Amino acid sequence: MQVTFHWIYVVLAGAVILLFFAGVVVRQKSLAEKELTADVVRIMETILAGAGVSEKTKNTIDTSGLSDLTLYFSCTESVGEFGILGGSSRAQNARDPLFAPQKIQSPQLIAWSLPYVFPFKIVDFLYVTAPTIKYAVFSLTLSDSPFDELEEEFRGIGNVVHLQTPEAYANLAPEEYFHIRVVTDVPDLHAQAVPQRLRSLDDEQVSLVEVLGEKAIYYQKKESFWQLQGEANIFSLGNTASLSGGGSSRGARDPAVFAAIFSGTPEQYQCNMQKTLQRLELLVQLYQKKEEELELYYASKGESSGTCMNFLNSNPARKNIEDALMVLRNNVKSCTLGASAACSELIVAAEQLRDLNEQLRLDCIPLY
Amino acid sequence: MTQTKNIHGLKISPREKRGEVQMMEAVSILFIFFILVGLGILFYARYTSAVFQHQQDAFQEARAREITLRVVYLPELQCSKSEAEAEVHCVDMLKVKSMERWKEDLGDTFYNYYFDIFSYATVTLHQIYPQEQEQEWEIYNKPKQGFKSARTNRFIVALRDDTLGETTPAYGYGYLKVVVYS
Repeated sequence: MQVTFHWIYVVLAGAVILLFFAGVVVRQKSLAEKELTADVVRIMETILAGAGVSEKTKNTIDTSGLSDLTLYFSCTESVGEFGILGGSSRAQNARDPLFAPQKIQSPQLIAWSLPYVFPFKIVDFLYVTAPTIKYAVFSLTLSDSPFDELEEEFRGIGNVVHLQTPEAYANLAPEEYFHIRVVTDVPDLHAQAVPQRLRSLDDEQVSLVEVLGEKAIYYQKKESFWQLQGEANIFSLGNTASLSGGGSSRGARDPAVFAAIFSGTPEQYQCNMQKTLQRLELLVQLYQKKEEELELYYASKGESSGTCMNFLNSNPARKNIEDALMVLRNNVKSCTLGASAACSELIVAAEQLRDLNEQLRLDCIPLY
Repeated sequence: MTQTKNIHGLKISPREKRGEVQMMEAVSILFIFFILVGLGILFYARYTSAVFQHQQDAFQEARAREITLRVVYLPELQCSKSEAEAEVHCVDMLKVKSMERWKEDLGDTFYNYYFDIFSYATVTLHQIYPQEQEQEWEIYNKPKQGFKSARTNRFIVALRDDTLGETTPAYGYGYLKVVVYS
């Protein structure tokens, strides 16, 4: 009887010890996974912050250790967010615009930054994409198109292809890409069926963005057709050139157009542009103060009615910097509050300020 | 054959005596074991605390670097050249001089907005040349209440003043001082 008791005791104690260590191992495993995702998100946040503030840089980030994981990017109510899908860690940012596909699964990430000028520099746009995302550009424009610049920038990576004929578009193949985005300046491409060979892919793996003048219109594959997702305004001072297709294309290296191309959804594009407009409003106010500083300077030199002062001062008889800044500020404010008419006027207001600044530059101290 | 001893009126057999000794041994072993476990826990706690402190330092250093980089490339300070690329590592003094009134106008909006960029930090601009006496401008000042540590970074910049040159802007130099609190 005593011997039996001892064995039960030993077995029970052994089981308790085993359970304890099994519990510790399971807990450590889950903690290590959480820590890993947190570290990855934190490191990515640092890399992307660095990439975002350094003008005109393109960084390739090795994520081969995470190639099985899916990264997600979103932006709602002016707060951008990214993280690992299914993970608990995420990074949020309410100030820096980041344009990326909704999901990325890739052994490499590409972070590219370009300064956004409207008409002065407001912020650096950061585009995040991957070699596993194919950009199929279907354009009939011959030159001075931002699409050419895109192709040039990604030549080494090879995930941007230029389709110059309707046949090339119709024969577009899925290959091994995680996502295929068709980019076009051909109006009504969405009215055509999805290219035959792309129909076998999941709906969320194929999307279309039509860049038509000052609008970007987003579509998602729905079986063999394109389903409208929404549209967004492109705020850009790029040059416009007519297209054979009847639409219009913007000048080369246009950060606002690239932003539309790299954004996963129209909501993400608008959300990041909202961040940009908030910063623009603050900067316009700073330039208003700088304009006052310039007025004080010319007044101290006894040039209270000279040429420079005429460009700066508010004067109903002629166009001037002070009024142009006020118009731009009012339009930005109204546009961020959702007034679509003010959004349409934004480009005109920015162009006017740019022209006045160029005139000021000839003989006076320019505003920017 | 076991012999029984009579101690204080209690009868204790040699077998029971041996059991008592074994019990004492077990208690002593357990005592030493728990002392060793206690020491182990103490050393582990100290080690993890040191590792945590090291991670905190590394994190703060990275944050200080990031904020310094952000300040250097801030459009609110950069020397712009129309729509061309801004001058590298250059601060526009007219913008700096306008900043005080700009911040007054913005009120709480200024810190509400820029806190998301700089968090708890102090950013000042110091002019070394051409003035003989060092001049200082406050760009951003949000120290953390009861902060435990502060890390300082300095970054040399050119200072462009369009109102000082005759035909072209005059340049001085100074440094941006970034203090990050945690």
